Amino acid sequence: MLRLYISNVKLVIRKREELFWGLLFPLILATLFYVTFGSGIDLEKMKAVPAALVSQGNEVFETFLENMEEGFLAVTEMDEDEALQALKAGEIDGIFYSGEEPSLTVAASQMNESILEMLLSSYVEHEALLRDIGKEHPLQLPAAIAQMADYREMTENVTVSGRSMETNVGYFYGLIGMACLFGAFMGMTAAEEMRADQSALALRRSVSPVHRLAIVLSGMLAVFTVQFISVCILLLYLRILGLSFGEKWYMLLPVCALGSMTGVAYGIFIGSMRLRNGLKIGILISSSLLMSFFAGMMFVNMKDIIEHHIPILNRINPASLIADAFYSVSIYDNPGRYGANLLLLAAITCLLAAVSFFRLRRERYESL
Amino acid sequence: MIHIENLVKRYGELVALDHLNLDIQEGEIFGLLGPNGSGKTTAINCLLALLKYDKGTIQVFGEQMQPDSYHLKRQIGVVPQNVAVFEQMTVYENIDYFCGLYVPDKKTRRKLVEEAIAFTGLEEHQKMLPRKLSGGLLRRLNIACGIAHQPRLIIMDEPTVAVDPQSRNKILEGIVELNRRGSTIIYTSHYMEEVEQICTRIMIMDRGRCIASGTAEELKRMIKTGETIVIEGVALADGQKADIEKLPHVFQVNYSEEKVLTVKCTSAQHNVVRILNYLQEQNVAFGRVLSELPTLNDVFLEITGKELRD
Repeated sequence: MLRLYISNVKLVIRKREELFWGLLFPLILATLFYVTFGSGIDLEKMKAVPAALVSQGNEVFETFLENMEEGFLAVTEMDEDEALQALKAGEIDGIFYSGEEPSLTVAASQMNESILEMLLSSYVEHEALLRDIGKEHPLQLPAAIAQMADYREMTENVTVSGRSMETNVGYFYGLIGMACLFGAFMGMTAAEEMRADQSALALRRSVSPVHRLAIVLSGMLAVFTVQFISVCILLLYLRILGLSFGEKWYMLLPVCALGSMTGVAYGIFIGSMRLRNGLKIGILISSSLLMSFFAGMMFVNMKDIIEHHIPILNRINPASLIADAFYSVSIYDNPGRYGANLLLLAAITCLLAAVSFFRLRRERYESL
Repeated sequence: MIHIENLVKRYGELVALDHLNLDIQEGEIFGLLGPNGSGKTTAINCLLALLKYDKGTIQVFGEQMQPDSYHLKRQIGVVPQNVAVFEQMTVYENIDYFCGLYVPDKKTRRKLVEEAIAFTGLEEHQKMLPRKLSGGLLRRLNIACGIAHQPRLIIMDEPTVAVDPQSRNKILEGIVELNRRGSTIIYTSHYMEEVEQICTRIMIMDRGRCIASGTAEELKRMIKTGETIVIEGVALADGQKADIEKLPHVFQVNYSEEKVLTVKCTSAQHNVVRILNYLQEQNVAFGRVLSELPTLNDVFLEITGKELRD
């Protein structure tokens, strides 16, 4: 079994085409993303966004801003003229007006301004609820705002400390999800080399005295090993480019391992089907890219949009789960969410692996 | 060594193997001869427990062959019809990989791999990747991968397809040598000449059935044709064809527009002399004269009414 495993690892490493999709292609994309977006924001060095508040009597909104202030928002109360001058001078990035209908004035459309816009829309979305609480339980208002922030963290990936990071980092997390899924190419070939009804090589292996289980497991493990190393290389490369994974970066290794396993299992699942090779490759490319798109690799807000409208899709999309696990560790520091993502990934992997194994363990075929 | 009884394999309506019976003794080179689609490969795949079959029993080395009969599989070597080697591995690595499925010990394996390389004449190519090899060398590598572990039974499924004559001869010589060294060989082919050349016993298959079996000589004796005489450049007059048909031992006469006379005779002495004497008596000029002994194709043709090679 060990000898088979080592031979299989050597074999997978030499398959240049598959190594291109599993390793080189994600590295190229990472470079392109880096050139296009930069490496994201270093969380530790992130500065608070300066903004002015022109008080117009909306206490609920003012309390909301006060509660959002910590860490990333620096709100100074000013009169309108003073605030406009500060905006013109570039001392602040925006002016909040706490009228009956709160509003925001920004000078440009940069990242910080986007954060302020997002904050305002976040308030508007929950305004009615906050007003009710403010009326009936004014003392509970700060707690309600804090809860709202937590709720948003859990369900929308829009954290109070979030959009700026998602804007850039989200692309890279989506990319890591895609890189894991691209392990499917190696998985597919491995599966085809195990089914005697799909290749002469598999036929030759099938008539050998090696136990079927040993052939299937050594093949799966070899592909997983190479894929996991490829994803780790990608992570290292992203780190070199300047992407920060936070202090608990080591928690990302299980995500990469499980993600790679999911990718490989997905490939084996497709590879074990009796379809034309070209069709299988087409299915793998299109589905992997689609899942990565849903995870935010091409349009970073996609994951949030899906979370709003079809949240189940984010729970069953491995790329989204991988990206979300990265968010949970690097940005939100949310172990519960991290664990949930890993569990879901493990469940998907087990399901795919079990179905694939059931297909591959077959030793006698109806036709060859 | 191998006993197959009443083997039936159906693909829907199509009967691929129709109550096939087969017995192969240790030390034989057993040829399975038949046109494409006659059921040769299907029979082999059933024998190797790769294919499910509808009915019948298969015994190898006196035991029922099952997918998990690993102790039986250990003694079998297979050379599949399609070249089955890893493109990413060198010649040596490929042979070593497949030999390793049977022989775990590294030291023993090295010796076996080197012997297989020498046996197939691949010494100069052992560091090359398969894509750099010619068709003939690739076929030899395919064989080396199947025989390196020195199996007791070797199954070769059309190993000479698309191989140049020189490589083909080398392969055929190698098969005879393997047999001389003690391996029993099952050899499937639709090339009658090579089956006739190397096989000690032959089964002719058509539409999943055994239509005849025995040694090449026994098979040829089963048919009426003992000799086919072809005479070129003959200008026969009316009635002369009928006269030739009446000559002793002649049972079929064809005369073509190209003035070629083909006479089929049963096995007897002086068939050619009798026909040539008749032509001389009749003052009929003729060109080249050929006398052919029956081939396996004649056997197939006479039994099935069609050519072995479509």
